[in-house]
Amino acid sequence: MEDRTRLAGPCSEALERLIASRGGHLMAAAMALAGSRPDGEDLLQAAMERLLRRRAVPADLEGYLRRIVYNLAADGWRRRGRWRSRLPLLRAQHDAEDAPDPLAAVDLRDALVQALAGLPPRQRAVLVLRYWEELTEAETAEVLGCSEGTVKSAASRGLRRLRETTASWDVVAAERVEGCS
Amino acid sequence: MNTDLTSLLHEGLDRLEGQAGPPAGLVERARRRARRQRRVRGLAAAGGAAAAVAVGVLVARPELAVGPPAQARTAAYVLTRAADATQGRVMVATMPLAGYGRQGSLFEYWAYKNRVKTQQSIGTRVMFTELSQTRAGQTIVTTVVPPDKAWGRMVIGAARLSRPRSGCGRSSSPSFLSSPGSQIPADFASYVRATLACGSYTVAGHAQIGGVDTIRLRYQGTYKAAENVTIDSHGKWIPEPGSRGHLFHFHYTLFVNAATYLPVQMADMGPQYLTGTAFRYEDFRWLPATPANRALLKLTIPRGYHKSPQP
Repeated sequence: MEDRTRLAGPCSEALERLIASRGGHLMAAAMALAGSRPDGEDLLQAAMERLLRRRAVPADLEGYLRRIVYNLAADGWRRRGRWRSRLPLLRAQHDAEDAPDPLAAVDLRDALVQALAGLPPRQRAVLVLRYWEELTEAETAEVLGCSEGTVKSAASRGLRRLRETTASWDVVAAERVEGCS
Repeated sequence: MNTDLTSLLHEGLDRLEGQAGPPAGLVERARRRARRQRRVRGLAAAGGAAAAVAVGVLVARPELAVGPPAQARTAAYVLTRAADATQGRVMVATMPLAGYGRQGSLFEYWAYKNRVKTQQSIGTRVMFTELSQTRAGQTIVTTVVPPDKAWGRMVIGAARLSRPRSGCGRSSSPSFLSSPGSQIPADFASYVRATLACGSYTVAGHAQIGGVDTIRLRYQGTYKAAENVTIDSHGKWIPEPGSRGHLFHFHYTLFVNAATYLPVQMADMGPQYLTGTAFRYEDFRWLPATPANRALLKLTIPRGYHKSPQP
């Protein structure tokens, strides 16, 4: 499925074109997976490095790059371990501390994206693939290299945890509405 | 409910996409780094392949280690003395972290017997404190997060604890002596003794650290990881079919006080994580196990903090 073109200048150009056209989408996925913009940039750059080290150009450049991004995110989580996985979250908390009130300042949808960072990497990856990239369970399993059952349970757990997180927001939002009326 | 949540998530990520263009020059940076890595690998292949393979064998099959006997005995002697010296003491370790602005961030650890306390601060603000206590095959982890005024508790089962706890490199998953949290045992002495089984430590001379004469012990390891791997529910790494492997090299240096044999500092150069090579060091202090020093391992949940399922 791969043409045997050497991954030299022309491939860099292809990658430049891909990033120019689809960079926003890939960057958003990387940020959602990594938990913050700086970590998202690192993740995307590392994925591109890995792509550029290949000897052959994959036929589906975007699909291949996306696959590396998702696997690197999970891989990084595995290597860094539990304590290090907190770092981006803590950094995000730290950055957010100066913001007046996340619920007042941002839309619930943005807050939900931020809440993604509180999930384990695999659940995060599954939710992004299933509900944003709109892949089926089978396709998600293929990208992540796991079984459909694993995807199903990760999605279920991830959504449950997001629901638990958002439940407290509902209370706050309801109180605000009452206060306004 | 799920539909609402997933729709909101979808919309949130769509909005993120609208705001999240990659920075200019990202491809060029990746290209430069990939080129540099290719050059380094080329040099390694030309000059260091034999050494890398040898180290790999040492790590994968420690029983086959064939280093210079005299030096190996010396390293073993120093580590044994270090294990004896740390026995029954309260370990205090500090590790500065970069990447948190001017204030910097600091990880601190306190360990004694079955307890490990970890704390991260940014500037003067404590971001979280975590206490792990191992009892009857289970580790209870209590976490306090001051910025959120939250705390939580979870139990890590016995399966997780059954993983080997030495500093030996594994074929699929390296663990560092200085890795804190779930990988550092409270009983440093046992850990050092377990590490001896690796046989890959060497004495690499002396060094002055803070005016103290120290013996340098160097551990070098390598492991092979597949290009794309996934992890099953039991924590086992599964290489993706057809995925090529890469060798990851790491080393760390333990500085042991030449007079007391107490560890003074650990520096490690880890495998690449995403970009760059991780380098960090931590300083050790060893306190007598007095009631006051043992009290450093306590964690009190401040009044007014709320319990959170995932603090």
